[in-house]
Amino acid sequence: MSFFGSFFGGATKKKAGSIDSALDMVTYAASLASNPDAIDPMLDRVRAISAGLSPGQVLSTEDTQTLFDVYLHIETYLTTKEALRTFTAQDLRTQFTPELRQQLEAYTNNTKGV
Amino acid sequence: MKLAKKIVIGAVLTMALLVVGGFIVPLPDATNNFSFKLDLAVTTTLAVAYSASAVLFLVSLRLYKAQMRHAFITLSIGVLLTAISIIQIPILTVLSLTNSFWTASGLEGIPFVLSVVFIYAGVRAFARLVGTHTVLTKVGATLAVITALSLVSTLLPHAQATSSEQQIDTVNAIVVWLGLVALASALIVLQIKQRIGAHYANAMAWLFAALMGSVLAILASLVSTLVSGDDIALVTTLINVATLAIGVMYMRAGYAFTETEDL
Repeated sequence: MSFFGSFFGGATKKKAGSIDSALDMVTYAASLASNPDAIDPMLDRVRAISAGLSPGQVLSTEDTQTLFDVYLHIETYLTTKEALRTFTAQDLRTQFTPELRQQLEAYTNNTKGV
Repeated sequence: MKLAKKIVIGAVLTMALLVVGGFIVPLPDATNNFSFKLDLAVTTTLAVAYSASAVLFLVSLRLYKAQMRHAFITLSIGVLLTAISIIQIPILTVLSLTNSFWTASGLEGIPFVLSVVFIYAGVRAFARLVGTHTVLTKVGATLAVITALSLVSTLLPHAQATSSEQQIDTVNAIVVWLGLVALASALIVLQIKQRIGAHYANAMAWLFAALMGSVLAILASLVSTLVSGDDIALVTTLINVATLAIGVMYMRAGYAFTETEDL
């Protein structure tokens, strides 16, 4: 990418309801934090997963669950501590495909029971 | 259609009308020449661009938390004051008030000074909100250094002029002060841009570009005064034409902030 493109480039805008992978879900949520340092430690587990992925490799169930867990931490940060604006979990989740939302909700319900 | 888009379209149409209107509007004989009409067209157009960007910064306010709203309102007041600063000069000329108390006493410089102060205060509040703490966000230290450098700038050699030495030195010191405060604001925005989440990066990039454009315009104005003395009507016109791009960049920055509304 040119210097101009890289300097003026922001987050890639996706259509509402189009995020379909746990990794994109976490990346998207992380991009909304006005102070990325505040969520940086949460992203260490994401870095470890993406570093171990080969191109085209599907995420394991364990990795997907780790990413859901990271997402939920970021979501809590955005809805309670974000300095610039108010987010709701519902608004954030409308960006995900119904299938991904369902998986996330199932994960949330399972972990609540633990 | 989104409100932000309507504001941009309205502003662009108004700017186009003002460019045409600036040349056909009947003016007093003393100002009825091409150079002044060009200045009038450019400055009124620029004022509309700045005013529209101030409004754009305010469009998304409802989404933000109280401290962020405070930072945005302060920034918008600064941008609006820039519009007032620019538009006052042709208005004073058309109304034959160039020798009035407002102009002669240097009071016409007040909106310029206030505009950069408000922009700096808005940008600084924004920086503190997102955890960007640098030496430039320390008001006392920053303004002390800037004021000292402005005083030193009175020692700069300059071309012969009809104004007195004291007047030229005072104007140059104020121009340097304005430029340095604008530069401090631009550098804070750059630091915020480097730290802030990707969702806001594009808006911060445009705000940085607009502020740096203002710094360059102020620098060009200073250099032309130093080199050509006070006979800089043509240079001022050229700088004003170039600053139209800055007005557009401010509008782009304001529009980019409205885009952060969409998740």
